[in-house]
Order: sequence, then C-alpha cells, then structure tokens
Amino acid sequence: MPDRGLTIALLSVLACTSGCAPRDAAQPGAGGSAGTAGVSGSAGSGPAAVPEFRLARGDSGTFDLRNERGKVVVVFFGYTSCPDVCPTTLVNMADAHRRLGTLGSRVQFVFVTVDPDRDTPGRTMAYARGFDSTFVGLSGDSASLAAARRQFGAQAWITRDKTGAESVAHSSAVYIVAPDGRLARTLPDGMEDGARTVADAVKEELGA
Amino acid sequence: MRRPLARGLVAGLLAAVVAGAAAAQAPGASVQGAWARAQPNRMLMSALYFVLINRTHAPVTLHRVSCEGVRMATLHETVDSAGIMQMVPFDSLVVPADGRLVFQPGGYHAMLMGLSAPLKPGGRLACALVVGASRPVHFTAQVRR
Repeated sequence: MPDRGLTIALLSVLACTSGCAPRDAAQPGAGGSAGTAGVSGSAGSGPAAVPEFRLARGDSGTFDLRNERGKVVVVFFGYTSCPDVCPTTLVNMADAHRRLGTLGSRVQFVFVTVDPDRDTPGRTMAYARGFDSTFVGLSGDSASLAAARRQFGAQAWITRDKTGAESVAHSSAVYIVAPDGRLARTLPDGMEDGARTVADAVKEELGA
Repeated sequence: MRRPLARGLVAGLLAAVVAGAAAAQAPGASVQGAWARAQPNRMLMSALYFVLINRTHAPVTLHRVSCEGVRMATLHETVDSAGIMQMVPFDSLVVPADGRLVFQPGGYHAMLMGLSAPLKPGGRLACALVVGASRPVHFTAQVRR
C-alpha cells in the first residue's frame, strides 16, 4: 500500500485547509463568546476555568450547565452518525456510570453534538439515552455549539467531498466538570480503559 | 498521541483468544473475533471489527468487505491527530506475511452504512472479506454494545 500514507496526509491537509476555519472557527484559545447565543461567560485564552453553556435538549427546553452545580458533569462532544469513536466512548461512559454505583446519582453525563445539521435535539437526546437512560444529549445552532466547544478547548469541523459525503473530525476528549463548576480535568479520550478512567476521575472530584 | 495499531495488536491477540465469534477459515486467510457495534435509537449504521490473519508466507491484500443487509461497507482507519479524531478511508490494506491486522475501536474498522435493520445486541451479521485473489472469506460477526 505505497500510497496510503500519502492519502492520509492529503486528507488531513484537506480537512484543515477547507474545514477548520470556515465551518467552525472553534480553536483553543479563540477567546470568549460574547454575542454568541446560548453561551455566557468568557473563555479567556484557552478553555474556560468555569465553562458555561445553554443548549437545547430534546425532551424539555434547555440544559444550562450552571444548574448542575453540586454534581460532577462529564461532557463529550461527538455526533450520532459516528460509527467508531462516539459509541465506544459512550459505552464506556455508561459503564463508568454503573461502576459508580450509588455515587452515580451525583454525576450527570452529557453528550453534545458537533453535527447540528443532522442531529436535532430530539435525535441527539434519543441517541444519548440509548446508551444510558440518564444521559443527556444536546444540540443547537452551529454558533452555540461552537461556542460551547470553545469553553472546553474542544474542536470539530465538517468537510464534504464532491459527492456531498460528509466527514466529521472532532476532539475525542472527555471533560470533567467539578461540583463547583470548574473544568477540573480533560481526559485525552474515553476509549482505552475509558470506563475505569472516567469513573476514577468522577470519584476524585466527588471526594469519594 | 495514541498508537491504535500497536495497541490493537496486543488487544487483538487477546480478543482472538477469548472471542466467541465464529472463526472463518480459508486457504490463505482467516478471521477471528468479529463483532459489530449495536447502535441505539434505530441507527442504521455501525462499525465492524475483527482480526484478519494471514496464514501464508507472503503478504496478502485486503480489498473489500461486505455484509448481508448492509448497503455500503467501507474500510476506514480512525486517525488521532493531536486529540482530533477523524476517519480516513482506504481502498486496500496489506496484511504482512504470517501476520495479522487488528480492526478495533479507535483504529482500523469497517464502516457499515445503510443497514436494512438496526443491529441489536446478541444478533449476528454475516460478512465477507475479499483478500487477495482468493475466494471471499466468509464469517459471522456477533453484535454487541
């Protein structure tokens, strides 16, 4: 397969030249979100110390991160048409929830789509709850979602080829928000040994 | 950055030993530990994972994958670039002589699009690989979460 590395390199370049900036200006350190619907607070340079967002949930109005104070919130950005990384991470998050036992009532798992064109609030919520009935799935307009990602230093972009086929790239990190609202940890990803890693992080933030 | 292939080789060896999925035998290649991800919310897409073993003393090329009731199955690798995950398609992949390739979450996988019905845990999926010029390698994948 002599040309495979070249193919990957070209696709990577394509993704960053045609997708990163125009579709979604979310970049770490891109600054605050003043004027962006659905998000308040300031990101400063890099992820916000205390991330905030309000996004649409499919069952009842709006999810406001500020209303989760007192709980640990575990946040993951993905999309429902994702065949590999997202279901793997969400299965691990569901397993982490089970591992936590009674502590599980003190954590809220949140899945935020990066693909609002396909993922309505209802679709996103139903998808998230397919992994665990307590999970929350959130969507919104692209600006609100991009602003929410900036709060965590997460990135995502979507490219389409000539046939219209969509390619989505997104941060695989799992973010842990402490009960006081601080962005306490960024786990590189939730795949390899993700259930234990996420559960342990939640326990530590709960002081358990 | 993670190294999905290296990690996959280790995990794949374990998976090949413990997997209950049917192993397919062919003159030059075999498949072990095949499974497909059950998806929630009646999603008509999924991913297929397996270990492809080359039992010959020469490299062989994996060209294509297909599964019953799946409109389109394509070969992909999830590439981790500084924490950003992206699926990269490929047309073929060489399995080294006397070697194996591990398809597992976060690395190589077959993307299944246009399923005729959602995959449910406990189900089975009949699939085939075109490897080299040999007859297709048929195998059954278990469906699990």
